Amino acid sequence: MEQEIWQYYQANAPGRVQVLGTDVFPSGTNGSLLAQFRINAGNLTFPLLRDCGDGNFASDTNLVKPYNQRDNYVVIDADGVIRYHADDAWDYGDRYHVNELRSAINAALADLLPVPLETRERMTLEVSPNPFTRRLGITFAIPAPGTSPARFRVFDLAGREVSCFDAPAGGSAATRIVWDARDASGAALAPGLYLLRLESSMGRLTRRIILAR
Amino acid sequence: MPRRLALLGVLALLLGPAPARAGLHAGDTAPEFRGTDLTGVSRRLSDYHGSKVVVLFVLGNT
Repeated sequence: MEQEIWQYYQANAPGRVQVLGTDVFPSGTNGSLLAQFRINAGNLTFPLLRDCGDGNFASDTNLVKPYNQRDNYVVIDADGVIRYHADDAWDYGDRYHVNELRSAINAALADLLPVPLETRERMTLEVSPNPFTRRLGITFAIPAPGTSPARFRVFDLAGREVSCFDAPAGGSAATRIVWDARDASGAALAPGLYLLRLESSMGRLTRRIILAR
Repeated sequence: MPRRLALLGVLALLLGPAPARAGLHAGDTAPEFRGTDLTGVSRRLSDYHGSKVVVLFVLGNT
């Protein structure tokens, strides 16, 4: 199953998806499991990492705490944001849902532009307060705004766009606006977790925002 | 009644506590991790920031 995902994206999005297998326990206990997994699954060709976690639930530096102690599937976008976490929705033993996994990977891929990281980092985007109740303060700067206007897009975690609005031109200086958490029809958005994305000719930046009415 | 209670106790021990959910959820920032693959190459999550979507298959203890 995992190898199929890897092969599919190697063929259809070469160089833009990295599949990794990780072991949440030290190699002394489960390191051998990695090798066994490779053999059982048919000589996997994506990297299997050992020693990613110390197996200690109390530690902040292991992978058991964030990803649980049992088999799990996670999609992390190029901004380092978790876009899919099977443990969120499914119990152990029923976590492999290939359509959900592909949908999350595709949504994260759609956000990935071939813009150098150093360029992306020169843009800034800050939000406050977060979580927010009615209005969200957004402060942003685009060093070289370009000719096309920048805009903000808001997505739910399924990748659906729920709001979109232009960013006022502010030159390269930091600009602050207030967003009232409404969709295109003017209706108030439901409480929940969303992704706010600033798009400009320089690239994109994404922030996680939490609406708590 | 005591036998029934004892049976319930044994069942509770066998089933154990419900497994806790993981600490991170969709929308959170993924913590950095590093590991060495089976060919000896060291890899970090941050190696892929800004350039690739990472799909993580987490192997647990079962």
